[in-house]
Amino acid sequence: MGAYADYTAYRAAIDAPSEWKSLTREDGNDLYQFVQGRSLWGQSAPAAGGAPDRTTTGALGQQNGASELRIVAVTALDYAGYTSGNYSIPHLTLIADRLSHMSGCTWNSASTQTTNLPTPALTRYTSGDGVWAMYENYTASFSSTVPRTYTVSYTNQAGTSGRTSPATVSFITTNSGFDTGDVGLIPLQQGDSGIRSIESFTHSNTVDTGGNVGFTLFKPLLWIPSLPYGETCERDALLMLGAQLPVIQTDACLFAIHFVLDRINGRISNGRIAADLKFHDA
Amino acid sequence: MTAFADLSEIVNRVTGGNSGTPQFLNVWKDNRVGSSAAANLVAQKMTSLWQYNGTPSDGAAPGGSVINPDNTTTGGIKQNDPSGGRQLWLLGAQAMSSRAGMLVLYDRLLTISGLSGTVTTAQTVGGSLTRYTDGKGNEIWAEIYTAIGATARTISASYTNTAAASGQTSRSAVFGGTGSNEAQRIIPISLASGDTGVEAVASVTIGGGSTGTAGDFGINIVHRLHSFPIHGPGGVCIRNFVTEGRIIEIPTDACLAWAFFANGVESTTAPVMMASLTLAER
Repeated sequence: MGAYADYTAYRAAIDAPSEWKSLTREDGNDLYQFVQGRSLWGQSAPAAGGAPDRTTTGALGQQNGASELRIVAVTALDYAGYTSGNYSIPHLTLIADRLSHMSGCTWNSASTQTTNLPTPALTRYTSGDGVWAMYENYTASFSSTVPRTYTVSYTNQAGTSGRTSPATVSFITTNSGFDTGDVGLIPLQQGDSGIRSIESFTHSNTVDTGGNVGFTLFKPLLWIPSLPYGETCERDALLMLGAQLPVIQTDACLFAIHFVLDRINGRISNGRIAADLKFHDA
Repeated sequence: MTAFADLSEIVNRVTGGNSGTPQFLNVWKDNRVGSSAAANLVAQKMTSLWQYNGTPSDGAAPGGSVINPDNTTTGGIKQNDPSGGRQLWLLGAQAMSSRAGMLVLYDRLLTISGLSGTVTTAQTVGGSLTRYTDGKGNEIWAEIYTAIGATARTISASYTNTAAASGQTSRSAVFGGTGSNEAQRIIPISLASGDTGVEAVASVTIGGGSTGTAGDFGINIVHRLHSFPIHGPGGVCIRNFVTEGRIIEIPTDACLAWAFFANGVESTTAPVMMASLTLAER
């Protein structure tokens, strides 16, 4: 078992899923245009962290499948993405498997930081191939001066340590900062296609308020584009979401990230997502 | 080549049945090249995302000897090749960009760099194709890696067309000057009247004199696979090729890469993009 024999079997899976899980998260703060996205993990800083799984507080908490578990459909009511004119800012929500996380670093240092690093070892997707990394802010930070950049030292998908990410912008706008949950993706050194662990973090300069920042490794699974303001519909993963049907690994720690790609004009005010995910164990 | 029998077979193979070996690939690109911001967009001009930081990593300028990139080339999406005599098919995709325009997914067939914006005699390209060898649908793109000069000139190519007739002379394209001299800029070179593709490029020639700065540019022979319209900043384009009746073959060894065609440009800031691709074998 694992594969659907035919479309009838797949359609039956949508009509009679193994499990429904509701994903309801609300952003307390506006998601401003100078950050890439907002993690909807919603938990306090993990400190030394760990390798979360489906039982970790904050995870969606789906049941493991006996065969192959997939998300076959999504029903989403999405308020996110309005400004004073109440029109939608396009964005997307990523459902991902949260593989490893920690916190305890600060933006207010120009020294190489190793607090609570390296990130805890992966227990899923252990090669690191296709694993993405992001910084994740747990308390607010602020910089009156820009630009600021950062790099991380990491081990890549081949197990080679000492890799260095390209210098990437942290604070992009004067007098800007990060709110709790703000995230930014970390690009890889030329030649790499994934990441196993982050060993250290270096910020270019000190800032006014350093906050508490950590690093999260995750596997992207399902991209859900935003709906127009206040609308809802059910979307079939095969026929309406670009045939995204990856297998959800045993003990996956599923969570959501909002990405606002328009870093110039985008802004999500009081962003909210209420989605039902249909799981099916084929 | 044997086509998918019906939707049921697609469902079966994309969920792993009958050696479908599905691949769910995720890509993101930051609007930075190395440690610097990428060059600004120009309205109605194409930009190469080949060197953009991201996951998988950026690619490099190919160098002064022609190469045939493949699915292991750094900078490409690095999908796995099909096996067992099967073909690989793109069944669905989502593409997102922070800027409005068109994201272009293409196969990078042949490439060379190290050409000069100040040389006004024919500059050799050469080499031969290993995919789409009949030339049909192949295009010639000039790609700038280090900015060339501020003086607008033209560029033309001497090439072999799909009838294996060598010595064809392309139309001239604007080359150099604002909008056509920046790093990461792509200058498509139109074919001669009546031609529908390219088997080889013998040389390119800058016409009208030097652009003023040598810089570093290259020539690519590419095969465009799909264009994803992005209607507004932060927009998402979902492609359900299955229901659209147009699944796309990804040839063995394809070097999949991205380019961006800017629209009227509400902002010149280079784009951030994300994409998911679903592939399966048949």
